Amino acid sequence: MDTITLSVRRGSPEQNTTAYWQEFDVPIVEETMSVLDALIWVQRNVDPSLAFRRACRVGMCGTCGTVINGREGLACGTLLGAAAGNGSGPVRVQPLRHLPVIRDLVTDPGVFFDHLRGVDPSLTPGPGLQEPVVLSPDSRERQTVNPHRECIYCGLCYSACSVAGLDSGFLGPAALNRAFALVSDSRDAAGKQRLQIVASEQGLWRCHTIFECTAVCPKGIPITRAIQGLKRKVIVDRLKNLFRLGR
Amino acid sequence: MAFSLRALSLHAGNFQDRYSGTRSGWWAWFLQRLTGVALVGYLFLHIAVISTARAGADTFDTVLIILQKPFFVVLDLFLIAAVLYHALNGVRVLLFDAGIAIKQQALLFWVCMLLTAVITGVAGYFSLPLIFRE
Amino acid sequence: MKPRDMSAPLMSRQEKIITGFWPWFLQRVSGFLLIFLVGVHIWMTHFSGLGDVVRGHQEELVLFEIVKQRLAQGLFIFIDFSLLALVLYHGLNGMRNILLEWGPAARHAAGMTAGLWLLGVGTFIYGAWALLAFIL
Repeated sequence: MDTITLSVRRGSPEQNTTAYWQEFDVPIVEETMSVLDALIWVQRNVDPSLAFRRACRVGMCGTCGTVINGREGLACGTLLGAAAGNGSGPVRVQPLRHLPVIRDLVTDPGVFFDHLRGVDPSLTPGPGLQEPVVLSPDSRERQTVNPHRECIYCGLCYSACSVAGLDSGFLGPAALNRAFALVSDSRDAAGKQRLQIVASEQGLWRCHTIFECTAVCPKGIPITRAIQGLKRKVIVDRLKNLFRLGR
Repeated sequence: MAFSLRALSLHAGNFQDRYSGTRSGWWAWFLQRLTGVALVGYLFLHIAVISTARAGADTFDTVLIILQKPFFVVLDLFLIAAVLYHALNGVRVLLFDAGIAIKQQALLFWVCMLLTAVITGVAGYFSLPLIFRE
Repeated sequence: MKPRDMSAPLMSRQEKIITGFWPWFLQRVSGFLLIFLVGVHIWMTHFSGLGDVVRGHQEELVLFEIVKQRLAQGLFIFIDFSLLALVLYHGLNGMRNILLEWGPAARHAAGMTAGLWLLGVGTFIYGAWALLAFIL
């Protein structure tokens, strides 16, 4: 049976090991085999100590985010054969960037979720709203908000963001995208406060429109567009304030 | 949150580990920073050169005649390329801030590169007599 | 980043932390103006006299007398001084942007910003003093 070489970045800071690459020859059991399938095969047949995260295996949960051949991707959503360029590899698999490694491919997403919590990611209903409040599916507002609500919080955008790598205090693409989804939603009443949070020094202004987040998002969310949308909202808000001050 | 440098260093070993990007958007940003820093350095040199005017017209002219020799005319073309790229990509970013052409960001990057090359080429062509004078 | 008190609902919290807007906004405004100012500056110093130099009517593109004649016009005094101020602001604000993303400098952001302002104002005074050699 044909095999593809899987090269995995391994190591554990707790056991004070230095990171190293380990190669495994994985048989092509199925044409449509994913990188995650290959990792599972290695864990079951070669090395049970290989550590990685996964849950749903169908691209819904956002747990198996890794860096494959230098690019962020969901291991379950990346075909092994395609990643090997229809050859025999090697396919290089690394943990996500900018997050501390716990072991092998498992990272600590703490800082990613801290930033998400920082923008208060839950909807704050205004007074007097009677449930259920719906945005009509064909309304303009719904069209604007919809793609930005697709986020599965896999952290690929955070790993791909060059600024997050330089400044761990930067809110990051996912948190800003969530803030945009809420600020653009008329059912949310905390828009002004949320704009204040994202307009802080380590918020919007650290985004330099590098577009890496948008490129790697497994849900195709136009993240940079969301961040630019927030910037425009703040510009309008600030300039309004300035002219009010002048009066 | 335990944020240990050692844990980060496991994959922050080299450039490839640090930056995902080698796509056009990343290059646009990187070149904007590179030309920006270079231009700031040039700015201070430029002010220092102009300030020789305080030592008198003769001193200024002596310095400026040296700085207009062919070697420096060629260096000036690099300066023009850096200014052009920085300005054109600056317009590209201004468009994004206005919410325009965000989807066409990659195309716009190549337009910036092309215009930089073409205009620098034209400037170089007209500067040829200065580069090849005796 | 400072940890935030998440216990109170967002509506009742007073978040007054807009800090990065004006440097960001003014970077764009100064950048936009500089496109025209630098354009005129480069054209006047490198290209407008090119024909005369090539045909031998003029020794060099830039000499003391040539700059002096140009700066005898009020418009160019205005252009050169605006250019000096704006280019220093834009350049040093850009440096600040880069340094804010570099740990050691970001930890001393206030001191770093003050240092850059000092450098900028000092350089402006020095540059203005140099320019006045052509005007006075």
